[in-house]
Amino acid sequence: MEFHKLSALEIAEGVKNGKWKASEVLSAHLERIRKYDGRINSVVTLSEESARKEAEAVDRAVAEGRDPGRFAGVPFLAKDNFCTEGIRTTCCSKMLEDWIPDYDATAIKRMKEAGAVLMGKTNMDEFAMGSTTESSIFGPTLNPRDFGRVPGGSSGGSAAAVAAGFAPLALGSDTGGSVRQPSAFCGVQGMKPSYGQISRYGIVAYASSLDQVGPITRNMKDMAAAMDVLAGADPNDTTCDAYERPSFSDAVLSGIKGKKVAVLTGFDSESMDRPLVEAIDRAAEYCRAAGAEIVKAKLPITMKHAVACYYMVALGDASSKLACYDGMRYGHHADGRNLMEMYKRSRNEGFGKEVRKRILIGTCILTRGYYDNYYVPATKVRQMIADEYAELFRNVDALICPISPALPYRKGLVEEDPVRIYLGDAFSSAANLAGLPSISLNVGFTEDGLPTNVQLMGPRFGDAGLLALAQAIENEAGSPAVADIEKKGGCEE
Amino acid sequence: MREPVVGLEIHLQLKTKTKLFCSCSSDYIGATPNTNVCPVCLAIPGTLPILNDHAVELAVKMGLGLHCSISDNTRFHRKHYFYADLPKAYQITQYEHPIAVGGYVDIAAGGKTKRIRVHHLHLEEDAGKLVHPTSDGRLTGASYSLVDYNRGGMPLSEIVSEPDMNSAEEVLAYITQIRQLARYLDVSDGEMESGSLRVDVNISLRNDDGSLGTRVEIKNVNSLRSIERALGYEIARQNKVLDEGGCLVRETRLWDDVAGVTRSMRSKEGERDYRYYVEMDLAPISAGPEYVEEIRKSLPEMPWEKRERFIRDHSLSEEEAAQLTEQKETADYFEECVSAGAPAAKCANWMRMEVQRLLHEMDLPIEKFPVKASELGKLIVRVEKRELSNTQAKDVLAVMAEKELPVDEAIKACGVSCGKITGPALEEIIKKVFAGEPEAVETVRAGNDKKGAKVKFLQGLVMRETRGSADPAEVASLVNSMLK
Amino acid sequence: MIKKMVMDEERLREVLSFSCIGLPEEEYPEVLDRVNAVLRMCDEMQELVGSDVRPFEWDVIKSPARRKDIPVAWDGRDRMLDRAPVRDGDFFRVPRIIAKDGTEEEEEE
Repeated sequence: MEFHKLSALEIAEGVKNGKWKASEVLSAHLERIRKYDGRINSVVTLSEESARKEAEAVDRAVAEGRDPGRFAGVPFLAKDNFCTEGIRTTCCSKMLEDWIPDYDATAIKRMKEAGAVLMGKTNMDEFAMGSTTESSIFGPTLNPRDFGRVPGGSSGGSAAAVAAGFAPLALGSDTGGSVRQPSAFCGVQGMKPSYGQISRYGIVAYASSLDQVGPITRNMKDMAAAMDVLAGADPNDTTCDAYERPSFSDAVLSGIKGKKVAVLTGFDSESMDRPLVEAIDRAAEYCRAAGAEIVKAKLPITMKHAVACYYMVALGDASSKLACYDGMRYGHHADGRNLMEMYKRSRNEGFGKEVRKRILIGTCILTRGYYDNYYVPATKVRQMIADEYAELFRNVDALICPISPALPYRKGLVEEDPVRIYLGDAFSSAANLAGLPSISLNVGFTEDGLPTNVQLMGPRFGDAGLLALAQAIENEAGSPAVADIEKKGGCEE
Repeated sequence: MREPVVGLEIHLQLKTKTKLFCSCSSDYIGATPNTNVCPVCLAIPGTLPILNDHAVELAVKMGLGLHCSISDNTRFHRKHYFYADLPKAYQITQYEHPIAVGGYVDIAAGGKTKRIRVHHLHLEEDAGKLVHPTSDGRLTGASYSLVDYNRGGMPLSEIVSEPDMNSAEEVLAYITQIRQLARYLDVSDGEMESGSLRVDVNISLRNDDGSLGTRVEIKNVNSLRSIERALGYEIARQNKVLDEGGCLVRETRLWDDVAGVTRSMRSKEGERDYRYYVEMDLAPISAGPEYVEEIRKSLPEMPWEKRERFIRDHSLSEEEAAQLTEQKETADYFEECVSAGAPAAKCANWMRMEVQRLLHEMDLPIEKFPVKASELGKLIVRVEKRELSNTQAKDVLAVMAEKELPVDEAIKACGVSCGKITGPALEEIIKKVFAGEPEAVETVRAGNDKKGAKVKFLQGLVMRETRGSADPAEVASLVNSMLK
Repeated sequence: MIKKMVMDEERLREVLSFSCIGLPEEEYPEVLDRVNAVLRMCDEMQELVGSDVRPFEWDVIKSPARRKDIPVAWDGRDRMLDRAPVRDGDFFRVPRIIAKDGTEEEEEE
C-alpha cells in the first residue's frame, strides 16, 4: 500500500472503516521521511513517540466504536512556529533553539481533536522572515520538484513535505504569502484563509494583523476538510471572528455555475515567467468550462503599493513582536555586565542576519518622523487596498491572479538579488493586507517539471465560495501528484 | 514669586479579580513572587492578550464619574521600551484613543470651589516589580536585580489632568477628590500606601509675563505628605534656579523622602522614542452608547450629589455634610442612623464626635465599627426622649462598641436604669438618702438651714443616687415636701 | 507631497539602541542601503494619502465575547522559572540595572 499517495480524507476513511490502522499509516509516513528527507531537509523535528501514542489512541477509538474524528489517523506536520506541547518550537532560529512550549497552538489542538497525528515540525525561514527557506538554522530546504531550486518560503518545509509525500497535510503560517508561495513553488495547494478565520493562538507571531494559519494539501477536498477542522472562534484570540462558519466541505462541491470570476490585468506580465502567465489563462479557461463568466479587473492601487505597504506593516509589527526575545525568561541568553548589554548580546547572538535587519527597518519606521511619513501612510494605503478589493468583490465573486511572478528561484538568489525577492510578494501580500481568503492552486507543470500555480482571491469570509472555485478548477487541472523524490538521486547541483 | 502650574497623572489600580489581559489573579499583595503569572503576562511566544470585561466597565464608570465623554472608538496602542519589568518589551496602553476624554473635577480649596479639567482617562497594564538586593538599603551598585511579574499586567486607569492646579492645597484636594470618587464607585481602593493610587506630578512656573516655564515631572511621591513636601521643594528650587539666571531642563526628577529633595534622573527625554502604534492583537473595544447608558444607570449617587442632598434634606452645614460624605461608608452609616428615627443634626453630631473618637481609639474604619447604625439611632432617640442623659448615652455607646451589644443590653450592662425614676420610686430613694443623713435632715426641719445649703446638698445626693435618671424639678419638690 | 527621508548613521545608531540590536560598524553601509531601498520603495505611498482616508481597521462580523473577570491559576510557574536562564528562588534574575553612579542604566518607572 502506497500510503504516501493517499489524500488525508482517504486515509481517514480507511482508518474509520478498519481498512488500515492509524499506526500503520504513521509508520509508512515516518519511514518515508526518514528515508528521503535527507534529500530535501523539510522536517526539523520528528516527534515519533508522541505520534505513536496519538495514532494508537485513534486505533483504540476505532476498535471501541468511538468516533475517531474527521481526520482519524491522518499524519500531519506543522511549521516550526506553531507551539507544540512537549515538542521544541524553534522558529528555526538560534533564539528558540531549545524552547519547548507547554501548550499546543489552537490549530494544533483542533487537528489533534479531529484525530490527526502530529509527526513533527517543518523547516522555515527564521521567524518566518523570507521566501526561500534558506535562512533556517537547520540549513535550507530544497524543492522536491527540483533540488536545484528553493521550495519558497517561509513555510517551505511544510510545502516541500506535502509535495514529497511525507504527509498529506501540513500547516503553515502566511504573513505575506508564506503558505501560498511555497505551495506554488512545490506544486501543492495552499490556502490563506480570511484574517479572523482560524485562531492565531500559539503561532509565534511575525505580524499580528497579517499572520494567518494556512493548510497545505495536495487537493481541495482535503483543504476544505482542514478548514472545517481549523476554523472557528477561540477564547484565546479575540481577533478570531465569532461568526458561525459554513461547512467548507459542503461548499467545496457546490460548483461555480453562473459565478462571475475576474482575471487580473494591468500588471507587468512581460517581466513574469511565461508559464505563469499561461497558467492564468488556463485557469480562466477551466472556470469558463465549469460555467463561470470571466471578466477582467484592474487593481491599480494594490498593484502599485501593496509591496511597500506590506513591508511597512509587517516589519513595523515584527520589530514589536520580536522585542520579547530578551534572553531573560526563555530563549537564547548571553551574559552581560548590565541589563541592556545582556539584551543586546542575547538578541545579537540569537537572531540571524535577516531577522536583525528586518527588526532594524521595522524599528526605524516606527520612530519619530518616519512613523508619520511612512508608517501612517501605509496604514491608510492599507485601507485603500482593502476598499479597492471590497469594491471589486461587489461586482465579481472571485479574482484570478498570479501568486508569484516567478517560477521557483534557483538557490542562492536571495543573496544576489534580495529586492527581486521582495517584489515577489507583490501579488501575495495584498490578501494579507486586506484580510482576504486566498488559495494558491496548482494548474499543472512545465515541460521541465516545474509547478505552475495561480492565485484565487475572494471577499473577506468568502472562504467557502473560494474553495468551490478552486475545486472547479482542480476538477479540470487535476490535483498535483506526489513528487517522485525517491527516483531523484541525492542533490542535483 | 512665580505662580506654580501643576498637572497630575494619577494611576488607579482597578478593582478587578484578574489582570487586564489575562486570567491571572490580581490579588498580588503579599503573594509569593511570580505566582500570579501565566503565559500571557510572561509574554510566552504565541500568546495573545484578552481584554478583561470588568476593567473596561470600571474605567467607563470612573470616566463617567469624572464627567468625561466615553469614546465609542477606543483602541489600545503599544508603547515600546526594553526593561526587565516589561516582558513583551511593550506596554499595552491607550494613546490616541483613550476610553474617556474631556472631564472635570470640582475641588474645594482656599474656601472656594475650583474646577480642575481632566484631559482624559485611559486603560493600561502595569509593569512587574524589580527588587534590587543591597545590604545597606541603597540601590547603588547592586550587581544584579530580581524580577517579580505578579504585578505585571495589573489593570490601571491613568487619569491625566490639565495643568489647572496652582497650589499644594489644590493638588491635595484634587487627589483626595479622585480617591473619594474611585472609592464611591468601587473602582479602586485608592490607597497610596499600597500603591493602588500613584501620582506623578508635572510642575512648571508661570513667568511674570504669563508664559509657562519648563515642565518638570516628579515621580516617587508616595503619600499626600510627600507630594506636599516635594511640591514645596520643587517650587523653591525652580524659583531659585530662575532667580539666579539659570535655565530649567525638561526632565523627570525623583523625590527623595528621607533627604527631602528631588533629584534628577539621568535625562533621556530627547533620546527616548516609545514608538506608539496600534495594538492589532486586540479587537477594538466596543463601548457603544447602550453599554455606556447601562453603566450610567448603575452609577451610585456621586459624593458631591450626596453632599448637596445632605445639606438640603438633612439641613446639615457644608462642613458637616462634607465630613459625613467623605467616605461612602460614613454617609451610609449616617443615613441608616437617621432612618432609625434620630434627628439628622443629632446623628451628625454623634458621628462626628463620639463615633469618630471611638473609631480612632479602636483604630477601625467605619465599616468595621461594631455598633450598628440602627442601634446608634435608637440610642439617640432615647436621649431625645430624655430617657437617658447625654453623659449616660456616651457611656452606653462605649459599652455597645466594646462589648458589641445592642442598646437595651448595653444600658443594662451599664447599670443605668432605663426610664425616669419618679413618684414612689423616687420617694423610696429620698427616704433612703434622708436615713443616711439624719443631721442634715434635722437641721432643715429645725429651720436652721437659712441659706438652703443643706437642702441643695440632699437634693444632690438624691440625684447622684438616681444616676441622673430623675427629673431635677421633681426631686426638688419631693425633697422639700418630705422635709416638712 | 513626498518627503523622502534618508536614514543616516546617526539615526541608525539610535534605532540600534531602541531595538537592542548590535551591529558591527562595517555592516552599517549595507544595512543603510537596505533600509533606504525599502524607504524609496515606500515614498510613493505618501502622495496617495488624502486626509479623509482612515487608517486600516478590521471589519468584524461578530466579535468574540470578552473575557469574564474570573481568576484562573496556572501551574506552569515553576517550569517557567526552571527554564529561565537565571532563576533566583522565586525570581528571575537579571544583571545590574542600577549603575555604580546611582543612576539607572536605562531608567523607566
